[in-house]
Amino acid sequence: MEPNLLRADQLAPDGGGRVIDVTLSGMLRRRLFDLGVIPGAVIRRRYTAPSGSPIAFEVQGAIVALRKADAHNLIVEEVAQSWTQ
Amino acid sequence: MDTVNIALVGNPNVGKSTLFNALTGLRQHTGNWPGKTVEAAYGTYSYRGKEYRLTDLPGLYSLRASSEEERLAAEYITGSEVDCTVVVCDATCLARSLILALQVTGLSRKMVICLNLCDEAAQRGIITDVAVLRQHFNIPVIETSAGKHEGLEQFRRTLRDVCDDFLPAIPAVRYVIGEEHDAIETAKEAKRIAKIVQREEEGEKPWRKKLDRLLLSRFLGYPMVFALLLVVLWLTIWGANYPGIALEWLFSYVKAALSWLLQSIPPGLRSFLMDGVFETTVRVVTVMLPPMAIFFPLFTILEDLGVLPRLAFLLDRPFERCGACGKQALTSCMSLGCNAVGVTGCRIIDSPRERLIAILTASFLPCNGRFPTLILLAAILFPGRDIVSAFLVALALVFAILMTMGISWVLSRTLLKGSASGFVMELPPYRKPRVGEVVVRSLLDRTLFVLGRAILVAAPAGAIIWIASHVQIGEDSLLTLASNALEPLGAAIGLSGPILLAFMLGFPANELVIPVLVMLLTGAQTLGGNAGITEILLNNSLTGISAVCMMVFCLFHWPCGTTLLTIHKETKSLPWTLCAFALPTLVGMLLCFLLNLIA
Repeated sequence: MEPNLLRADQLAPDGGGRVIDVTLSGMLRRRLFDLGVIPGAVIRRRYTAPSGSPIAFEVQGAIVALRKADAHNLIVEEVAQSWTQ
Repeated sequence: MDTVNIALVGNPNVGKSTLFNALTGLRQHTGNWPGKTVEAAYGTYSYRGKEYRLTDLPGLYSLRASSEEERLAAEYITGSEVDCTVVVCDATCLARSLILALQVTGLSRKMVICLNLCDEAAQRGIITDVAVLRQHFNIPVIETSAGKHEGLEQFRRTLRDVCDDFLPAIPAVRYVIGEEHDAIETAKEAKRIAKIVQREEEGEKPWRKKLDRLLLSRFLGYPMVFALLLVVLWLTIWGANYPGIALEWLFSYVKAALSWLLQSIPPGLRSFLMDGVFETTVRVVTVMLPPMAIFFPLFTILEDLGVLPRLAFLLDRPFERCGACGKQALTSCMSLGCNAVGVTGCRIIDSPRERLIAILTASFLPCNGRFPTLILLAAILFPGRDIVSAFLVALALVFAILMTMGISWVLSRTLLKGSASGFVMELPPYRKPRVGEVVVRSLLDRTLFVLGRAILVAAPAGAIIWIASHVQIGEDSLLTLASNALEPLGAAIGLSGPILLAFMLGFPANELVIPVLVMLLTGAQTLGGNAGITEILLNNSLTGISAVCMMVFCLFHWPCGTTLLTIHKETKSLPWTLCAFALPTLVGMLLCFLLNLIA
């Protein structure tokens, strides 16, 4: 993985990331696309459950929760805090 | 009168069901509870001399047919039966809603976009240029705020115009649903359109974020969940006393009236009808109806508020560790109301393996019909110390929850091998529930369902119990003989013959266990009142250890008849239904056997 890239579960609280790749397969991959989580989309980490999983991300104005293991398969490029849609 | 068929499709949480309810009022029928999210509902309204039949399809993110629900929905709107498909979009989250709208263009002949939640969007400062949206798709776009009943007239008028061919509603571009590449392209296109037609003037109201930050936090999350469960159960169990008393009072009059009507028939038959069939049915209804009438509206209100998905969010991790789905937390909560409802609710779980785990473990949680037994036994164990016995009931509940997880863990390592599959869950914004509507609808749906079930299940059971207690073989009644035959097995697991027989006769409905037991112990031939149950049980050698065993057996034994029927309906498999029967039974017997051995 390139040095400026990280995985969605590594985003800081309220940190934003532009989706570069979705390394998941099957139903979950398609479901994420249907939710607008596609390469190029910007997601923002919002809430984390007490035990660290799942993690809720803001995607196109909606809040979507993913298990930590699945979020690990979302490769993102960090975007600045001041980012607006 | 002509009937026009309209299909409503949309993502979950876009207020589709609210719109459906606002349009059709009470002229609708749903499938199983919670019908609004799980099965298609049908309703009608009339407008200018025509009848419109609305089908409220389950909330979907896609029509790509990757799940059974999606496949059925896609098939339905493609079919010739549907005159027009209305895609309900969320004005606060248009880019995502449009993905589904784009997919519908390739399936439906006529379509209309209904932009719902316009009030919420306005509050958030989101402005939509509807004209541009209309132009882009070349179809009518209706703006509604279904929660406030705004835009309904426009909805009805537009649909009339569309179905009478006054207004063109054939989309200009048709997207064909296909491969993965298209999924990305569709999402990109939806985002592009949303960017053109919408602009945001101010940010989201911060209180929502603050509330979520608090509710979903490390320190408050779990205590909140626990407090919420306790409050709901407390309201249900204690609140049920009042309508219960009212129902008993009401039925005493019905009984008097019936006795008067049945004066002239032979006394044997009269006793059979009144003491057997009628008494049993009344008992089941008075015990079962009030908690249901309180629990399910409460549950629906929590769902409307947006609390339930957050509950699943907080509780997902333990379920993931057990190889199950986080949504099982929700179906388990439903099981606390009624196991059969919990089983039906398992349809919200996408993975078939995880759905089966949730179905098989549903009856490990005590339902409303079993709580009274647990409470009574706890009170017997700690007489006069209410707080201690309340704590014991809470402990039993925690034990049941742990057992559910333990069995899920075992299942996902044996019969249903596999690891937890990923899942995506939306946390919808907090919304004000329409309390009045929820209460009326739940009461109507539930009351009818429960009354129907009571008559179907309790009446024959009452008949059988009456016959068994009246047919004499030698000195003893059939019932006594059966209970004597069960004595060795009952004693081995710390119970007794009568207790085991009471659980067996409680198969139609768990509410019957205590009344039947009292009847067996006292030799009375009818189900007597509540008076002196504690004394009767204690006088019949109910020891501390057998009370504990009975509590454990009450938590874990075969599911009731309705639950088993529901399991068979959901799994369409006899082996799995038998498995659902055997699993809790074996667990309960084993635990009781060990407890008895130790004591």
